[in-house]
Amino acid sequence: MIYYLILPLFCLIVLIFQTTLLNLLFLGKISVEMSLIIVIYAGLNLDAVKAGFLAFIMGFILDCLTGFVSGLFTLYYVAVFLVVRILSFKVYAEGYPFIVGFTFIAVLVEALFTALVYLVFYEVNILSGVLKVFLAQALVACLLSPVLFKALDRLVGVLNVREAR
Amino acid sequence: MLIPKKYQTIGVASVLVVASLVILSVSLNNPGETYFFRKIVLEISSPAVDAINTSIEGVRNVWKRYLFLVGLEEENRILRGRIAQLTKELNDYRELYYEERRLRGLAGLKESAKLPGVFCRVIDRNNSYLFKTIMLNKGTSDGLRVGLPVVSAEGVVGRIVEASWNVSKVLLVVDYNSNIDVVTQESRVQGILQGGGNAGCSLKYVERSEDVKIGEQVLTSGLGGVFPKGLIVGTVLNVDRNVSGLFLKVEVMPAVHFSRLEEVFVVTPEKEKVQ
Repeated sequence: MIYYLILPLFCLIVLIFQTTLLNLLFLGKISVEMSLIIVIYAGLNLDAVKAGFLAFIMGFILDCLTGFVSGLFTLYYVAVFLVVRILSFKVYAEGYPFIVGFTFIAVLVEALFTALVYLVFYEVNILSGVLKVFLAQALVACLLSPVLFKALDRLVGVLNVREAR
Repeated sequence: MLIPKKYQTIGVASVLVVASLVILSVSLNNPGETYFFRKIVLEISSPAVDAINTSIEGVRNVWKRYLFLVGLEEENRILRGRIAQLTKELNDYRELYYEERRLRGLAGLKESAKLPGVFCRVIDRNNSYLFKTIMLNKGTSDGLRVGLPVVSAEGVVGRIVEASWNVSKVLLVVDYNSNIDVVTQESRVQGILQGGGNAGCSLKYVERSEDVKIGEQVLTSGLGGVFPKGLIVGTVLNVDRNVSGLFLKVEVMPAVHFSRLEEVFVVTPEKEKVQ
């Protein structure tokens, strides 16, 4: 129960860090989606209900903080959770090649998804520009994903020890 | 859990996808509305974001002013300390001077255009590729609401797209979702100014026969009911006549330097509270 109470606060802290300090680290040129890597981690390592809610809350708060259309990132993050979950049943998903590859593809698909939504709802074609930016973002995110996975492993380990006590 | 473990993923994902689609659909159908949960998130996050940005600015200033002093001799250190103190004081006065100038500029705009409204401070910027927004330190409790135009001494900044109790989000004119009815100053050609992200803006629906000149100013037309007539939006940067189709390709450079914005003026309707 405590997980669901802490979850929104955790997501908010992660996203504030992501949109301020992490953004500053990359001089505002690239937005590194740490939140997406956390959703992928949750999809692979937590149980379905916990991971699903994490994806949903993370997406919703990201929608509130960055975009002005609610549901865009919420829907995408839930879809990422579902795909990573299904893939983890079919292939060996624990290794870093899978994590790096999946993160890279997830960021690029996000670009296509966003461009598609803009094209359909606002009749604006941003595909060519968005791909260039997201390609750089995907590269940084996929390189960052193994480090973040290790850090999250440790965090989850510490939390489990405390829970066991 | 009621769902068998085997189907848990599909079950949970189905519920969450439906919930996301409902949120997306409601949001797309009511674009001007700021919902309760969004307000809560904005209210909770804005002090933290403001504090972080202020701290970063502070650290940056400390780095600039003091860090290079480390390692010098004692006397030199004392003298440089004094210089730093004086520089800080001077900088504070200069900051006050520039702030006063900016506010005078905004007040001048308010006076000359007889615009009622509210002065706000910019507390955060979202300058990602897709979203170009700024956050203001005032909200519905100060008379702001969704749809109100935001201007600076340089020209049109954008319009409020979300208003919480104490913070508001402004969609900048360079955002892809921004569309403003405008008119060019000399040739009086009317069109829709659409945001183009980092590329500035473009003037849409200008017929090929129109004589739009490079360098002429682009002003709000007053049509559309959001922006008052005659506010400067930008300058025509390039006119491309070698395009296929019915319309010209007109590039417009916004009048406002969005990265330098610190204070803005939100134009409110006549009857509302004036500060």
